[in-house]
Amino acid sequence: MPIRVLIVDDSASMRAVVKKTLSAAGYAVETCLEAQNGAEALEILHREPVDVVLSDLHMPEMDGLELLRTLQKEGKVPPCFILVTTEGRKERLKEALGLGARGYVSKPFHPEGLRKILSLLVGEPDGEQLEQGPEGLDF
Amino acid sequence: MENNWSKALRASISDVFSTMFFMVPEWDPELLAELGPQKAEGWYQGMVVVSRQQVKIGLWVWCPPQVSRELAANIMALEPGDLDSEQILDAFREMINMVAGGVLTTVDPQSSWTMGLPQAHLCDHGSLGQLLASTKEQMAFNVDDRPVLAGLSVQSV
Repeated sequence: MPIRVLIVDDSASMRAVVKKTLSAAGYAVETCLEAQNGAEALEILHREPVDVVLSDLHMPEMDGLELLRTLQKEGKVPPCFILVTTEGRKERLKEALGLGARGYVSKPFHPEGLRKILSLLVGEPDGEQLEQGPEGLDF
Repeated sequence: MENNWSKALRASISDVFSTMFFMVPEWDPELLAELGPQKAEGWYQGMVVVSRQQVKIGLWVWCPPQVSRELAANIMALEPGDLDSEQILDAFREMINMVAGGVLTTVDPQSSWTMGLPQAHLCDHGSLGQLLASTKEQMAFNVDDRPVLAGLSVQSV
């Protein structure tokens, strides 16, 4: 089933990498929206239904944690919010997971790392959903 | 402390360059002396400040134009000739962002340091020695016979 994706990163090159990885992994992407920071992402999420959010943490204006905090307060954290971030410190990542993120991929990453977490949380590209929660990830 | 940061910076540059940019930097300390007098014009400079209480540490990376263009081309899977200067700068900024993230993951598992946003720009004057002069720990890498420089600056406020 085609998925609707929002990529949130202040780096255009990183947004392009994530987009290409999704497509190379075989996911049928119905819509791929992009935001440069949390504030832009919030605006998009208020008006568009999205299945998967792939978001950085360190961004100008509104960072990924602030985005998650706002979405949590509104009760609107999308079902599949994945961090794609340079942040590798467990404390910060736990904070994000506590706010509703479902998993993370640390930059630098191999495309396979992103594909693996997507298959766990979104399902395989052929549409078969895996029965495995975030405990199957790095935590 | 600086020794740990220096080792972490060296390791992070190797990891980031090889994993996301498909380039293999080899540590080559002898390059530092050779490069000092060379002009910095056209080189890309990237920097991230990490801070804790009164201490600020700057993590720096410098690359010549050809390496910077290739970094951007490799991460974006584009031909080097198809890139504009903004794309090169964006990829360079993301590279130093990843390098700094890797350093903090190694030296700061307790999350006591705060990481700033990455900055990058194109150098237009001075020598490479002058750029390096503000850093305490300096290192050089050989990337397919082209140099890459890095360093750490420490400031107590």
